[in-house]
This record gives sequence, C-alpha cells and structure tokens, in this order.
Amino acid sequence: MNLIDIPVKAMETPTGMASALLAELNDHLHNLLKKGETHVIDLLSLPLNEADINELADLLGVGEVKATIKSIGSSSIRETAYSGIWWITHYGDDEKVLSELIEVTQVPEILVTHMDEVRHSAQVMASSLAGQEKVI
Amino acid sequence: MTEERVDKAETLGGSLISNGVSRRTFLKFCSTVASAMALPPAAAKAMAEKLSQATRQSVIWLSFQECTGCTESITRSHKPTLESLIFDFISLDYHHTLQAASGDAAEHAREEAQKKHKGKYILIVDGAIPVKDGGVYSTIAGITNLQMLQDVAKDAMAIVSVGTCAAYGGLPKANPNPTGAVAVSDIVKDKPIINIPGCPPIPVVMTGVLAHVLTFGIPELDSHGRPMAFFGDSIHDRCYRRPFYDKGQFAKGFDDEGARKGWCLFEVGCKGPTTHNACATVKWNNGTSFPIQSGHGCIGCSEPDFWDAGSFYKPLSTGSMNMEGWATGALAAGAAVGVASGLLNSNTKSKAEAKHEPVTLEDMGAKNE
Repeated sequence: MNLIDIPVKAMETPTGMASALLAELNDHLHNLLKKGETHVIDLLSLPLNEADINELADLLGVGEVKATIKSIGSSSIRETAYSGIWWITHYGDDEKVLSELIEVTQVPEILVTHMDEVRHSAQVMASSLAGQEKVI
Repeated sequence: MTEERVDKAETLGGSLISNGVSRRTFLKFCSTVASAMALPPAAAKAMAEKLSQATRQSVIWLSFQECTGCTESITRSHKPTLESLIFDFISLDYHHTLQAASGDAAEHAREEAQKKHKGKYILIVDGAIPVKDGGVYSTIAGITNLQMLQDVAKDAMAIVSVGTCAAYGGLPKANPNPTGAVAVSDIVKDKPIINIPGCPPIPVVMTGVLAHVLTFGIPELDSHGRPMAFFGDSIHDRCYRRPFYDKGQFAKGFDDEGARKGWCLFEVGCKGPTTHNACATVKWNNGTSFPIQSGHGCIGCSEPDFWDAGSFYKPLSTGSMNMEGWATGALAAGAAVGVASGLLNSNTKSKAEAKHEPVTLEDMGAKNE
C-alpha cells in the first residue's frame, strides 16, 4: 500500500461557511457605520477547514494596508478589500498560527499605541534629552 | 506602608514595558489565551487591560509525590514562546526544582512569601500527598508533604492542582497505594481548588488557566473541578478520527489494514470517549500531534483512577473497563463532598482493584488479523 492510498488526507472542499460569515460581517459593518460598534471574530474557534479559510480570504480580497508586528513571532495585519474589515494572524516563534481574527473596526486594537507606552517613551525621550544637555 | 505603595505602583504593564515586553505582545498573548479558552474574542482586550493593571501575582509551587513531568511540561518550550510569558506575570516565590536558593534559604523564601502575601498568593501543587503512617513517605526539609500542604494552603487565595497526581492522586494512588497517597482536594476543604489534570497537563492549559485566574478570577469548573474551557469536551468529541467511529470503521490491531488507514482506535482500547481533555484540539509538542494522531489510543490520563481502570488495550465496550466507575460513579464522586465522596472513592477503588489486570502481550496483539 502506498501513502496515497490512505484515505486520511487534507483534501477539503468548502462547506459554505465562508458565505455565512460574509453575511455576518455585513451586519457588523452596518453596526460599525451606524453605532460605531466594533467586532472581533475568532476564526480558530469556528469549524472552518482550510478550503473555507481560503474561500473567505478570496471573498474578502486584499486591501491597501498591510502591517507586520514583530513580538515573539510575528503578527500580520491586513485590511481586506472591504474597508473596515481587517484580517489578523498571530504567529508564534515557530511560525505556527496562534490565533487568527477578523476585526471590524477603523483601526485594529493591536495597531493602536497604548497610552502606557506613550508615557514610557515620553520618559525615555526626556531622559535622553537631559543626557544630551549634559554632554553639551 | 511605603513598601506596599511601591508594590502597588509596580503594575505588570509598567514593569513589562521597561523590560521590553510591549503592550502589543500583551494583547497577542491575551488573544491567544482567549482563543484557546473559547472566550469571546473581545475579552482579549479586557484581559490585556486587567493584566497590565495587576501587580505580579505571588505563586508558591509545592511539589510532592511527583515525577516533575508537570514542571517539565510547563517550562519545556523549545524556545521562548508566548506561553512562557506567564512567568513574567507571576512571581514564583517558591518552586524547589526551579529556584536558585536551596536548603534553609529556600524554605525561608517560602515562609517569607507566605507572610508577605498572606491570603493573596496562589498555591500550585503538583504530586499526590502520602498520608499513611503520618505522611512519612515524602518529606521536604524534614516537613511532611501533608504538614506543608496544610500550612501553605491555610493562607492561600486559591489552589491549583496541576497534574493528575495532585488532582486525583494519580500514579502514587494506584493500587495498592503503598503510601496512602491522596489528592489535594482530599485534604484541603475550605479553599477554591482548580484541577488541571493530565499526565502531564498541556502547557497552554496551565498558562491559560493561570491567566484567567489573574484577570477574570476562577474559571467555570466541571464536576471534577476542571476548567470547562479545556475539559468540557471528550477527546472522542473532538477527535479527527471520529468520522471513522461513526461509520463503524475500526482498527482491530496496531498493524492491521484499519490501523494503516487511520481508522478509529476504539477497539484497541482508546479511552477517548470517557476522557475529557483538550489534546485533540490543542495537541502536543508545539501542536505537532497527540497520541491518537500517532496511532495509539488515548489512555485517559486526565481522569480519576485511570491507572486502575483496566488495560489500556481493552476496548471500553467489552466490559473490561468499569464503565460505572468511569462515568456515573466518578461524576457522582466529583459532585459529592466530604464523607460521601470518600465512600464513593473507596467504592470506585475497590471495583477498580477487582478489575485490575496487568497488560499482556496478548492484549496488544490478540486482535491482530
């Protein structure tokens, strides 16, 4: 028997989940527009196979923003062709997908600089300026 | 007073930023934990916010009758991973395998933490507690495990029993239980106890539960004291070989056609249907695989008394397993408390003893075709 005869294969066909998700995203877009409500969908928690994920990615398309975050593995943040719908993938150090989210928002939460960090960088800036004065 | 104020000022958010752990890393960690625990995705932000406002949680980790496999599991990452971030969120004040201090200094660190964080520290226990003959069979610094558990549990905020030994007695409690080993919950009755069984437990289950305790408090638990998020489904429920079970396609041996075709391992003794854990979804070794994916049935290591519940290679349906003990009896034991639970436990145990059979070569090959 060859490996190819083993019927356990990653051969998957779309289940229709992608278009169901599209309908849900449509609602969330309207909520964002009318009430300013943001929403997050955790793709890993849904019974999606690889074909569904690919179909969803095709349906949503590619928009004009792509950002990468480097922190213990990378994170990729892409706006889809539908403005306000973002596709976020967090990778671990080993390139394994840790979480995959769709955010309906103007700016994904993870891109916004947190005020704690602004405060910290202001302190660092101030102390480096103070250091410069001493040198001068 | 001053010291307390300094403590309060040093939030996790503040201390981690100065150590180069960004808020985005925080949020990423929380997104991953929220996803693993099936929390609403929006909870990740709330979790990150709460974690950053929290101070480092004092944790005392006591290791009793154990093999250190649980500690291996939580610390043995191939490289620094997101999961290991949990060690930045807690202050591990005592862990006799991991701490640098030894001898009197080590015990002093434990006493110090107990005093300083009285009523606020989390106690993590791995290993069972021998109680026979006054508990002499396992001692640390001349103190029996029993005494140390009672002493440290007294002022703990909550207890996390890590691994099947601490949660249910595990291997030390296996027939004939020469040391009179019992679970943490058999001794401590007045503190919230979270059981994270498994031999060992899955790393992300341990870190996820700890992160949940730090932010939203004690998670929802099942009748065995296990977090529902990870132990709510059986291995069978989430097994990728489930479609073969439904179609009645079973491997009858470990090298027959069914085994080669990746069919269901129920008939070679898989305990997936009676075992609750997250192995089938979270998997092991950085998500590589889990026992069933590697061709061996689940042995049910996260269930009480799994070691005495019959051969790992006898199918559940042939009656070699004490189904009553595994399902009904065990559930009732988890729900009952005090005397009733003791009675049921001994009942389950004697049944398991009667059913106990050593594994023979025949067991493993008898069904070969």
